[in-house]
Formats: sequence, structure tokens, C-alpha cells
Amino acid sequence: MRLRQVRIVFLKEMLETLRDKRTLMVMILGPVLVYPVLILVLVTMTQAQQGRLEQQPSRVALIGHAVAPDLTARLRDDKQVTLNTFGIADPRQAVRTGRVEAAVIVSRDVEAPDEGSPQTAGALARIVVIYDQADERSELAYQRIRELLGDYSRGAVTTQLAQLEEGEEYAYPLVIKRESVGTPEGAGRRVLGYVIPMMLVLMTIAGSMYPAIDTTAGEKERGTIETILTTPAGIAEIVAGKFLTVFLIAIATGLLNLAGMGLSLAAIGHAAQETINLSLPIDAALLVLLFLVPLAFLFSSVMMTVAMYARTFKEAQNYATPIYLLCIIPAMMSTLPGFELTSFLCVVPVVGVTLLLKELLQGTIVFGHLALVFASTCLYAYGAFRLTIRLFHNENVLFSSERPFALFVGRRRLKPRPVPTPGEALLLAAICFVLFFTVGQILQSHDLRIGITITMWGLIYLPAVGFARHLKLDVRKTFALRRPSLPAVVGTVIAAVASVLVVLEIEYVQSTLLPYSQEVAKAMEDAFEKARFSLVDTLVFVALFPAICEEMLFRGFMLSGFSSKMRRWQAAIVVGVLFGFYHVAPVAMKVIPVSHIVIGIVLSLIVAYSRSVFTGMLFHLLYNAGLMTLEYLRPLLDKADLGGAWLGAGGHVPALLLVPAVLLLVGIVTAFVVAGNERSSP
Amino acid sequence: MTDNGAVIKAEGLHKVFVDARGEEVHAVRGLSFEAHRGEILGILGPNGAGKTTLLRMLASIIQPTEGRASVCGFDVVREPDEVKRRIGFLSGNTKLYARLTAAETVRYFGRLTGLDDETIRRRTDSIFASLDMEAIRDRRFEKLSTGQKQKVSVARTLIHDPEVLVLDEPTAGLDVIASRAIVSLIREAKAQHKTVLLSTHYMTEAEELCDRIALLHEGVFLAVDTLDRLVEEAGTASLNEAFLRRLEAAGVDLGSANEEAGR
Repeated sequence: MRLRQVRIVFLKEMLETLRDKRTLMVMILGPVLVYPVLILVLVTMTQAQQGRLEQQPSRVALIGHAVAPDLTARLRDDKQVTLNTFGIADPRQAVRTGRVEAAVIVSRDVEAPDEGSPQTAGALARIVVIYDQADERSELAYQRIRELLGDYSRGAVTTQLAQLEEGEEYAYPLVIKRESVGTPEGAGRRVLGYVIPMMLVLMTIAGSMYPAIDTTAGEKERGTIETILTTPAGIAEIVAGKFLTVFLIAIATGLLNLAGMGLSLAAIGHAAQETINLSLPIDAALLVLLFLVPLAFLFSSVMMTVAMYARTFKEAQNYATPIYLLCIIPAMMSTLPGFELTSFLCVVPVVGVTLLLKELLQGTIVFGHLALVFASTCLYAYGAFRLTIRLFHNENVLFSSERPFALFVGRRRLKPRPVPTPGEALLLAAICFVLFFTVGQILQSHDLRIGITITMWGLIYLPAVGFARHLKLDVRKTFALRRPSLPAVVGTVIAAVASVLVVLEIEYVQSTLLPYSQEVAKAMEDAFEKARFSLVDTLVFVALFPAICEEMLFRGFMLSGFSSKMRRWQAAIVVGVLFGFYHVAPVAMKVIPVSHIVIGIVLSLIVAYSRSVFTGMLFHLLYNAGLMTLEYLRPLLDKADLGGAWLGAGGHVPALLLVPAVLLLVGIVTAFVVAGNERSSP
Repeated sequence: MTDNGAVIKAEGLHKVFVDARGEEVHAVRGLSFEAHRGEILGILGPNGAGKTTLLRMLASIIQPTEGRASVCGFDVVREPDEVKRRIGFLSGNTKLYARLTAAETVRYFGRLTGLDDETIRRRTDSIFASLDMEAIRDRRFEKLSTGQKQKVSVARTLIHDPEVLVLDEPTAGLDVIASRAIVSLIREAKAQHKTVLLSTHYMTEAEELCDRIALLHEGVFLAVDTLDRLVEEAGTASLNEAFLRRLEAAGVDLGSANEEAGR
């Protein structure tokens, strides 16, 4: 890459972008003018409205005033209340229609005792206050009445205590006083931790969106992309120049927003200095800036990649908006109380950064998290950047006047083809993941058997086969429906048994490092126990169904999709990792699913090089069945003093078993790869 | 330049696109030809004939699926930078940046081609004077008239003084006055012994300017020859009729082709 060319492209893009009023509006006008004005107007209006409300007395109806003359007099004397003691037949209706803002019903004489009963017993229970909590005037009226009744009640108690010649401690044995050790800065940091990460993420992505579209789809639409391709500037240089522009604009937007928001918040905090200090501490601000860089890098690359697919500015906006909306959910996570950063969440795009920024702003710094989030965000950003460069090399993407995705082309116009594209594989994965984590989880929590059956066949198998049919793909090639050779079957069986031992060791090591993984295993055990799963149930629902359905999705559709544009081993790794993360149930969001990723990669390699999904199904079935059977046999084995804690991932697998298992597994997978390569070479 | 003096040389150029439906489109099918120094070679054909694809491959903008091509002796796949330095490419699709001025536009492309600022200034002054562009030098592209925009495009194409001009339907959609800048550009290039590859579907333009004409249909050359010989061989009075005769001989349904080629 020649830096001179990158600089020339960058300077021209910057000049053009800065001459574009729309970009400047998003970048500068928002943070510099809109925030302060918005916050100022909001605060002023709220205060004015509050003041106006508080000046007006509340209209209150009193029903049963005859039995409470003293209380009536108190209410009448109160300047915050206008009392209505006549003509209210239906107090609830009166409040509902707004005739009065609240109604007090005194059903029995609270002032004069019944004959023979202690004066205070149950007296308070006889007052009902009717109000409308959806109406702020009514809510205010209720608060006023409650305060007044509280005073009244306290006065009554004091009088009675005096009559009984008892001190106040007789009725109020506990004196409660609030004392917070928190500083105004601490309170401020808590609020900043909720607000700033979300706003920063949203503003940075908004800042990158417009220039990303303008420099890609915008150029395509305006017909300038071909002009630059006639020059000796290389594709990577053009992309780098454009990317730097988008990146800088995204950073500038993020920074200006941070500054605008910081100043506005500080101004609000200034008004309440004694209880809360909303000014951003310099050390926290610097760390936030540090993370703004990879975040802007990521969003700029993702937005450019998405926009590159579009033919026009408008089409690009249609593609980019869902990405923006998709980022709102992780961005909002900083505002969820009690949602904390875990090692798994660190590597989830956007979520990791959002929660880390929250931690930083609230004064907690875990260096492991810091490094994990920074590294993973940089990795994703680099991946997206490389993808943008690849897309610029794609002549179809650059010059085609057709819609870029077959999905948007009517089925009648689709031509039959052998396998899906990686994009289609990813789309299907996204659909199945969403269905699995939403509908699937709900169904399984109601009835595990029906839930698993519907999830596997209805939410995994059917979408995969249906999508392949819709796209007119060759079903045999897409799902690798080929009979495996005998050596492949034998190899698969041995590999599956060996992998059970390897996984037990991985699970144990992980559980010693991260105690959460035990919680996850426990949650699963509990679910099975609750559903009273027998061994046969477990083998059918947890081994057989997933072996068929998940293999059709992962080793069928997805593997063939990724293999169409990648080397087989690369595709196997991608699918293996996706398979691993698919196995992270929402309850288990705390751990990286190492064992599932390892098994996913092994499975994908075996299927990719044996070219038969049936080897995957066999492996999957034996592996799941093996683990589940061990789980069932454990009490028996324990009782007979056979085996050890390692059978339940509660200790290291004996080296005598583990070493041969690892060697066998590696050896068999290598044999699959070598045999597969030999078959495909001429 | 190749041994026999050919500035542009193509051998078996073939281009296949795969569309979103997975369908293969053979835009150009095994084309071979040469163009020499000082020659204007016209590529004539209806819409969809493969003219743009052919010229984009020669300008190293897209890569051929099969075959080879060279410009001034440089391979279009292996040495794209050298090829691009020697080509001035102008087409209906090579639009310019709305928010840059005429001078900024020309300077940008000059720099990308590797010229130093002094050379760019000198060349810009000379081109702007010859195209009568002084008045619009600092005007933004978006504020210019169609004719003025075309002049900026021509200036952009010429800033690095290319040895070869590749012009893809450069006058399509332009009025007579705007087209004049292009026609004089082609004539001037010829006078300076540059090689010009001109794609068009205007017969009169081809008749008026080209030394040789290649008739292209569905990615295949129906003929490559001088105007006189094309007309003579077809036994017709005009290039238009000669082209139609060739299409007919190739088994094309003239009902639809006539509309395209006859303009």
C-alpha cells in the first residue's frame, strides 16, 4: 500500500465531506447545539411546570366528613388543598373524570372511639384515598393528602401517648436516619456510567453512517467510482483513504457528542452539586477516548461494508438502518441495572465496549476485561475492514446494476445453483439463532420435550431445508448428502469417543478457571431433572434430534456456504466457532464455550473433508449420547467406586486416557484432511 | 509497444459475470485484435454488445476471465498501474465530484497518476487555455453546465498526457455543443499520434472519425476493417446498412436489433 496514494484519496474525501452540509449537520449541529438546547429546554420546562403545579391547590373530595370533623378542619385549613365535602356521590368516577384530583373516604368515626374498644385500634385502615396514578396532578394531590394524614396520625398518637403518660419511644421504638457514604462524584459516575456508553456508541455509529454511505454507495450512484478506478490508485489505497475519512468523522462526531453531552450534564449536575456531581473525571474521559478509536474503526468498516453492497444512497440507508437498530440493543445494555461485564460478554461486539465503558466510568477497572474488549474490538474492526477491501475488488458489487442479494430477487427469476453463498449462510444462521434464543427458549421452558422437538425440527431443520429450496440450491450438495466410506465411519466413531474424554478435561479446566461454567451445567441438570428425563428421553431429545437437525444447519447449509468462498479448513473454523456460540444459552452468557467450539471445529473438519454430513450426524449422536450416558451412570459408578470425579468433569481425566484420546482425535482429523485433499487433487 | 508496433493488443479476451441469481453472463467472448499508434479504432455495437466490458478490461478496471491483453507493452492484469498511467479513460460512467472545483478535480487525478504539483500546474494551465476553461477554474462541478462538465472530464482525462485514449460512448446523451469538445479531443489526439479506442453506437460518429471499425455483437466481433472495406464487402451504401447486413448474416433477429443499431 502506497501511503502517498492513501493520503491523496483521504485529503480529497475529507475536503468533499467537509463541504457537505448534511455531514456537518450530523457531526456538529447535533452535539454542539441540540444537546445543550434540548437539555436546557427540558430542564427549564420541567421546573416551570413543576412550579406551576405546586402553586395550584389540589381539588380533594372528602366523603364522610361528618364522622371526622377535626380531620375535615385540618384539610380545609391546608392551603395546598381545596376541599369539596358535598355533592360527590361516586368518588371514583369523580376522580376518573377529573372533577376532583383525589377523594378521601372516611368510613367510620376515627376521632371518637367506639364504646369499649381502644381508640386507636384499626382506625387508620378506615381511610381510603382514591387517586389516579396516571395523572400527575392527581398523584401530587395524593402525596399532599398522605403527608397531611401522616401528620394528623402522628399528632393523634402523640396526644394519646400524652393521655397514657408514655413517651414517644413507646410508639416509635426505632429511630431511622439515612446516611450515605457515597460522594456526589460517586453518584455522578453511576449516572454517567448509564448514559455515556449508550450515547457514545449510538453517536459514533450515527457519525460513521452518513460518510460511509456517501463514500461508497453514494459514489456508485453518482458514477464517480469508475473514474477513480481508471487511475493507478490501488483498491486497498482507495479503501484506506475513504475509510480514514469515515473513521475520523465518526471519531469527531463521537468526541463532539461526548463534549456536548458532558457539558450539558455538568451544567445539570452543577444545580444539584450537593447530591450529585456529573462532571466527567479526566482519567475516565481518557479511557473512554481510548475505546472510541476501535469502536469508530469497527463501525466505519461495518457501515462501509454494508453500504458497499447497495447501488444507491437510499438503498444503502435501507441496509444500514437495521445495523444501527441492531446496535441500539447492545448500546442500551449499559442502562440495565445489574448487567455486568463477564469474560464472554467482553468478546461480544459492541456489548463488550458498552459494558466496559460503564465499568470505567463507574470507577472499576479490570485489566483482563480492558485487554479482552480492546483486542476483540480491534479484531472485529480489522476483519470488517478486510471485508470492505474484498468487496471493492468484487466487480459484481462495484458495477452490477442488479440487486446484490438473491434473497431480494423473486424466486421465479432465480436459477438453480449448487450451494449457498457465505452471506446466505450467515443470514440463515442469524435467523435460526434468533428463533432458537427467543421462541426456542420460551417453548423449552414450558415443556422440555415439546420445546426441544419444535426447536430442532421447526426452528433449525425446517428453515435450513426451506431456505435451500427457496434459493433453488442443489440439496444433495448443499447438505453434503453423500454416503460416507467405511473408513470414514470407523474414524468418526473413534474420534467421537476420544472427543468425550477431551471435552471432559476442557470442561474441568474451564470450571477451575471460571466458576460460572459449573452454574451452567447445574442449570442444565436441573432442567432435565424437572422434566423427569429418562436416559431414553435424553438420548432422543438431546442426542438424536440435535445430531440430525443441527448437522443439517451447521455442517450442511453453513459449511457448504462458507466453503464456496473459503478454503475448507477456514470454513470449518468459522462454522465451528458459530456452532460454539450457538450453544451459549442466555443463562450461560458468562463463559466462552471453549469445548463446543473445539467440537464444532472437529465436526466441521470431518464433514468438510469426508464431504458427508452423515459422518457429522454420527459423531454428534455418539458424542452427545456418550456425555449424557456418563452423566446418568455417574451415581452408579460412584456407588461401585468405579471411575472418578473426572467422569462428571469434576477432576482431571487420567493422563493414561487423556493422552491417547488427544492423539487419536488429532490423528483422525488429520487423516480426514489428508484423505480429503488427496481425493480433490487431480 | 509490442514487436509489430501494436499499442493495444488483445488475445482471446473473455469475460464472464455471475449475477445474483447465480447465472453466468458471457459479456465478451474470446476477442483478439490490435490497435496501432496514431490509429482511431471504433468499437461499434448495440447496447449490451460488450463494448463497455471490453474497454474496462483494456483499462485494467476489471479483469478478464480468460485471455490476455496489453497496452503499450504492459499486461493489463499484471501491470495495471503502468497501463492506467498510459490510458486516458472517459465514459458516460466516469462522472466527477460535485463538491470539488474544476482545478481541484484535475489536480486530484493528476496526483493519483503520480505527477508532481509543478507538472500538474503547467498541464492544467495549458489544457484549461486550450479548452477555454479559465472562467470555470474555481467553480464547483455541481454548478457547471453540461458542456462545461464535459470539458472538465476531458481535462481530467488528459492531465497525465496519456498515450492511449479509451473513450466509451463519450458523446452519449450530450447535445451538439457538448459533443464538440469530445470530437475535437479525438481529432487532436489523432494529430498527436495517440491511439484512440472509441466505442459508440452512433454510426455517423464512427464513419466520421475512425480509421478502422470493429463491429461487436453479443461479445463477438462480426468484422474488423476500414469503413470502405466494410461497406464494400457488404455491398451497401452506408456503414449502418453494412452493420445490419452483418447482423443478419449472424442470424440476429433484426426486428429488435434494428432499433438499437440504426440510430
